[in-house]
Formats: sequence, structure tokens, C-alpha cells
Amino acid sequence: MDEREYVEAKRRAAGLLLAIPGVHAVGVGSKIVGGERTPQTSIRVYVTDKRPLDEIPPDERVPREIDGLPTDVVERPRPVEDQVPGIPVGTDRDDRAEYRPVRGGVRVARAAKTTGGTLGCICDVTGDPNTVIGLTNYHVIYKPPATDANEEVGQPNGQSSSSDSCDDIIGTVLDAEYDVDVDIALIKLRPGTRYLAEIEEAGVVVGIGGLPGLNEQVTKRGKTSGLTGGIVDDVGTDGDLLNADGTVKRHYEDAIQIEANPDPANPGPTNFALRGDSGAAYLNAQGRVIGIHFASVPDSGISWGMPIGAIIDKFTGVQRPSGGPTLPPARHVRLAIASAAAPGDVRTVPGAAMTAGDQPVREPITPGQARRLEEEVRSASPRGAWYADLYSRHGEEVAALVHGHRRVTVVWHRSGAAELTQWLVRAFSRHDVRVPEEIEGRPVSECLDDIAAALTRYGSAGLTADLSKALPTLPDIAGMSDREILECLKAELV
Amino acid sequence: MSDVQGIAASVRTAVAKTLAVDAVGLTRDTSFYDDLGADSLAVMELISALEDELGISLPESNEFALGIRTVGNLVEAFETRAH
Repeated sequence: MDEREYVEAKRRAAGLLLAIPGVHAVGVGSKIVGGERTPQTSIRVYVTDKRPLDEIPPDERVPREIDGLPTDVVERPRPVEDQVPGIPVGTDRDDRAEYRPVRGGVRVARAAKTTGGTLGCICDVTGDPNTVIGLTNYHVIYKPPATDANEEVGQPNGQSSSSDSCDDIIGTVLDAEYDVDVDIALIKLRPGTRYLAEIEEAGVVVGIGGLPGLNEQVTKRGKTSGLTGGIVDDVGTDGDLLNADGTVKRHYEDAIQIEANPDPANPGPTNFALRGDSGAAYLNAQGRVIGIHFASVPDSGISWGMPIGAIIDKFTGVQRPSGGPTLPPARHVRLAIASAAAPGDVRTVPGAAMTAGDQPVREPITPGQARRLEEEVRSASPRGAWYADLYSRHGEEVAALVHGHRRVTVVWHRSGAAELTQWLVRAFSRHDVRVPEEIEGRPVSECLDDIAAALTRYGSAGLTADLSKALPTLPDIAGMSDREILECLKAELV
Repeated sequence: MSDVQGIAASVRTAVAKTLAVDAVGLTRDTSFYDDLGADSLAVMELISALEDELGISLPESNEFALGIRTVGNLVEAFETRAH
């Protein structure tokens, strides 16, 4: 019999079943006999403690059949949202690395918020080629039910800056929903952001998948537990998500339940997801996104996700295929999972405000990129190490002047120094980009002269003294690649 | 040091010149951002040009400059320091 018939029967009976004392969820899954899954599908009724039948009053017993379909009482803990503490330190693979181009499966965090979650996957928007969306959970960004518009989201840390010369912000929240169907936030990626239609470790995203079948294998990559695999254990769980104090936080319906696969190399209990994996995309064996993770029970091996179709429907306001109620029409964003035919297909969010040639240059410089540039220059030669030392000594003061002193800020932007810095960092992070010969029609050397004059005039005595020593020695980097710049630094100073 | 009437006139002239707008329509309530379409860099440049012209110094922080939203704000900032 078609599993959808079970889901329909479960939906009709859910109200009555959930009213039975001790029942915390209902769903559809394989009937379990003697601890083993059987080929028989059943309407599942989840209880925290399974008791012998003779101890249960007759009016509190689960019927053996519903609409002629068999039931199964399954003992399983109630889910607790991932952000509830409890995972012992040192038992995860916490990944706080910076990933550029941006991709799924990596850490994201709201600016100025210390906890983070996982960026599930990237979506295009049908009919709006200028908008690219990253998916994560509502509860990763907000504390339900509070929502503010346009919160900045960063990868990995949500590190913001008063100018865009050095931060890890990848976008802002376009819309977010937290209700019976979904727990989801849409992050609108910044123009100029480079991204991959891939999930770290899992590879290329092939597209969208339908509702998974029971016992189908799925994988996910979360920032805390990394790449893991599991089996679809239930395709339509209705239940309650609890706060740490046991009160109901969110009633959810039609969730997908995943049970972790065992790990042959490490016998014993396994987890599919951990706290911090919230927002991770569930992929089927074909590499299609079938859902987004939202909860797990620590060390139980069980995780819950929402079907990707419910998310897409939520933002288009269409009728649910099951014949359920029409969803409240939210913002009309027609999401389409970004897919790629082969790995390494780097794309750029259109609409960058400033371009030179066909290379967008407004993607913010991340702290990781700035650090790598400094390290490369330092290790190139004694001369490079000298420049890197000067940067270490005065970098903070220069940043404070550029961001905080009115006259330096104006020169920084008007002279083209801001754009030159972006090109330099880009050349060192991409290796296929050259510093331009001119910026806004002026030679690169003139940009440097202007900003150096402003820093000399408004900087400290120490900065001024070091600038006067360093400026005459700087190579002319106009038109150079990162390799050519490093070669220049190998020549000794006269 | 400039007199107060001279400051208002200098500000209006400088605004018209720097932002390429007609000085006739400018009032103290005219917003640089909402009415004249200026960005923060343009307002910072305007402040610096007027400092040089009037010989009056305003605080150098960006935070102060970002608080100057209208023609009236700018006139008052210079007037306060002219006395």
C-alpha cells in the first residue's frame, strides 16, 4: 500500500492519538518487531515509556488498526531543539573555518551573536536572477518569536565592521518563518559574494528531491558533526518540540525523522546531528536536497528535519499537495535549489555596485583572507617580512583612521585605496586576478601617494616615521599577479 | 572668524556647489540624504571644504559627521564653534 495513504490516515487520526496520555508524536514508519524493522508499514504512535498492555486503562490504549491500517507503538524520546546545551565538549568535529567561495554545510552566525548554526544550501530565485539565498533555521538567527528585519549573517562568525574593508558578513535575512511547517530563515547573499552550488565534503548539489521513502539513506553536513549518514525512519512526524524546561516551544507537523547509521569503525551508539547542525541540508543518495535539519535528541541518534517542499511552498503560498490548508501567503520568493553539473563551478551574486573590467570587487575582505595575505608576504623574503612587521605594528591604527577619521575616510575611498586593497586581497586569494593598471582612470601609484599623504598627516609619529621609510621602497604593483608581487619582494632593498 | 550670517550663506553656497543642486530651494530642514541624495562621503567632503573656507574646525570623527543630516545641522555646528 502507498505510504501516502498511511500519511493521510495518520493525519486524520493525529488529533485523537495525540490526546492519549503519554503519546507525544505520531508518524508513518516500518513496524518494528523484536527490535527489527519489518517490511510492514504502520501508523506509528510515539511514547516516551512503553508499558505492558494490561497496565494501560482501556480508554488510553492505542487502537491496533486505524482505517484498516496497522499501528505500532514505538518508544522514543521527545526531540529537543539543537540549541539546548548538553553535548559534552570534545565529542564533536566543530568546524569554525572560513569557506570562500561560500557553500552549504558550513558555519553561519548572526552578527554579534556567539552561537551559530549551519548554512544548509544555496538557492536561486526563479524570476529574480539578482537574488541568491542561503538557507538556515529561523532559530539559528532569532530567538523565537522575535524577528527583526535585515539581520546581518556572517560565515563563519558574523564579524561585522563599520566599513566593508574587512568582515565576514555574507548577507542579510530576507525573510524568516517559525510555525507548524517550518523553522527557516532566508539569507539574501550580498552582491559580489562568490558561491558554489555544493555542500562541503558532500559535493555538488544536483537539485531538489521529493519526499524521501522510508528506510532511504540520507546524508548531511553540519558545522558541529561534519558529514554523517542516516536512514529515513519516519516520513510524517507530528509532535512537539520542547524547551529545556519541558514546555512546548513549537508544534511541528510532517517532519522527516532520521536515525543515524552505525559506524563500523567505532562500534556503539552514533549521532546523525548535534547542536549547531541546525539548518543543515539533508541530501538523498542522488545528491538532491530533500529537507533541512531542525532538531535532534543528544546522543539518541534521532534527528528531525522539515521537507524541502514545505519550505518552498511556504514562500510561494501554494496549496500543499496533500490537500492540507492553504499556507498563509508569506513573501513571494520562488526558491529553486542551486545545482551544478560539476564541482568547482564558482558563481557570483550579481549586482555588485563597483566593478573594474568584468571582475566584481565589492565582496568584503574576510579576516582569513587578510591573514593569508600577510603570511604570504611575510614568508616571501626578509623584505616581505619587514612589510608584514610594519602591518602588524600599524594595521590597527590605519584601520582606526580609515574607519573613524573623516578626512582619512574620504581619501581612502576617493583615491581608490579601498578598491586597490580589494584587488590586492583578491589577487592573493584567487590567483587568477591581477591588480589593475589604473583605478578610476588614475595610476595605482597615485592612489598610494594620496592615502600615504593622508596617513602621514593624521597618523601618529610612529606611523609617520615608518611610512617615510617604507614608501620609497614599495614596488609598483600595477598590473601584477600575486606571484609577480612575491617575486618583486625577493629583490633586496638597496 | 566668520559672522553667523556669513556662515549660513557660506554653507548654502558650498552645499549647492559640492552637491550640484540649486541653492534657492535649500532650507535648514533640507536633508542631505533624503532630499539631496548625497552619501556620507559627500557630506564628509562638504564639512572639510567648509572647515577650510571658514577657518573653523569641527570634530574629526566619522561619528560626528554622520550626525550631520540637514543643512540646519551643518550651519548650527559651525555657528556653535564660531562664538
